[in-house]
Amino acid sequence: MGASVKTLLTYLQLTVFILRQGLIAAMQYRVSFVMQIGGMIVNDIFWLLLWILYFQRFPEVNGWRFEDSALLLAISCTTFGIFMFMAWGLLDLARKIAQGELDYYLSMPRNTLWHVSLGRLALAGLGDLLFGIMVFLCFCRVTWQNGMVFVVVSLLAAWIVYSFVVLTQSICFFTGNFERAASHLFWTLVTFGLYPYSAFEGLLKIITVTLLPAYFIYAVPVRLVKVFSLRGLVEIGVFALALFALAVFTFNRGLRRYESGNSLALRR
Amino acid sequence: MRDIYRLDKYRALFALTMRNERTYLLDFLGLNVVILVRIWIIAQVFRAAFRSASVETIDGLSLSNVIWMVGITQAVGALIGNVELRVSEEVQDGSIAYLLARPISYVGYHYARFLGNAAALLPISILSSSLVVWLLVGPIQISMHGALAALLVMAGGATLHFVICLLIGLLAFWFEDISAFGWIYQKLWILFGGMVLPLDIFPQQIRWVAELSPFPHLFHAAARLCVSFSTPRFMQILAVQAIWLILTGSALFLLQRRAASRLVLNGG
Repeated sequence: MGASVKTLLTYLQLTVFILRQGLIAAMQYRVSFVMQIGGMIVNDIFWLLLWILYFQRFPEVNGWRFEDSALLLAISCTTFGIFMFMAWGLLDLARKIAQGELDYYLSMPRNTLWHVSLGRLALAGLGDLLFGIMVFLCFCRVTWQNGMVFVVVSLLAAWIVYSFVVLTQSICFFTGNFERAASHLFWTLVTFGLYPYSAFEGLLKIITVTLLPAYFIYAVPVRLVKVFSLRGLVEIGVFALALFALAVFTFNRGLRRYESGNSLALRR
Repeated sequence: MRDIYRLDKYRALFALTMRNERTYLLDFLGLNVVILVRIWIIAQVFRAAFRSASVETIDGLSLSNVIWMVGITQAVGALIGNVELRVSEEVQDGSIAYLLARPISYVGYHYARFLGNAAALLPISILSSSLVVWLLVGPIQISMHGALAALLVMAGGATLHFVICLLIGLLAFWFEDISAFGWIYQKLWILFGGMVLPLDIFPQQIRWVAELSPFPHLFHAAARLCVSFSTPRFMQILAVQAIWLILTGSALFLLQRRAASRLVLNGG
């Protein structure tokens, strides 16, 4: 038990170190740094404007109001901001598998999945993260309690997104070519987070709890921040843990089938 | 110099891009599914909104009109090629120097490829989106005049989109990363270009400003003419498109000259 905790702490320290170094390196190009973060914030503002215009015309959609959409936007931006900043490299996983480019990561002493995830950080994710927090502070009724719930559910939702991406990208180990399909699945999942969840019904709603975990990334967190329930938190926590276990299992099983590309490449 | 005006090489590029796009048809179909899911989501959002507001029409638009408009706009707008990323890559990796040295116009080269891409993908996208919208809200009457006018306006809108994307791509001569400009342009066109909300349901003042901007004249104008054709509106759209094409075309001409003067060839 003691050894596991020590390993976990070592990985946490290394993660913070890599992210900090990445940030320092990115800040050397100041204009690009500011434009990526600022550009993403402006980009997100347009979504907010869109929902302001929509709810001016339709004040309520199946009991869903502008405040709910603002909260949904806050949670989805924070969630995807965390994912983009910490694990954007994962979106290349299927391509790396298909082209036999995992050799570099396999030769390192640290965990392969952890290393691939941190392989590329997207600065724009910081813009998303900042915007999500700003929307929460400006458009939602903030208390200490729901502020804490907001942080916890955003982290859990980011964990679910992480596991979903690992799972879908790892399918490439078994099929040989799943890069575009995995990417499309990811962007479809993002799409669900932009629209009022209360409007979904029938088959579309079934998809959000089965094929794509949109229900756990968007609907449950919004409900928990509005009205906290321990049962809801356990529900999302258990789902996150189960999906993560399935994703890691699939990745590790797939890794056994991995074939090297035997390519020689220099890493900058 | 006169050699660059020979049309046969652009025709060959157009045909080559079309063939290339058809080779990766499966990838395209995957992307098409994402767009169809998005149309499905938007249809449910509007259906719920109309039901909650207990109305049959909004500003003269029925639910069916709204979904047809958004569906056609999505089918074209979400699939049309983004030239800016390719251009900025060419600027950053220096391959633009090879293209400029060829006996072919740089703008013409990209335009031929852009049209080849659109000609290969749009018919399938428009047909599949129309089928999905038809299943969701039923058929709509489209007059022959409306369809022909929509095709003409679509060609004008696509060209305008191409010129704006090329302008953004050429900014790579001055900025390290142009992705922020691309995101903002994309969101402006999502917001004011009818990708989610038809312009008809905007508040009057915002609608008036948006009508003067190029965004609704990219793809939404064609969808609008399809759903309800009127000759004065058709003429107005053509006039606004022509003005924007002249303005952005002149800006492109100037920017291309300034960019060429910044080009440094190091041999090799």
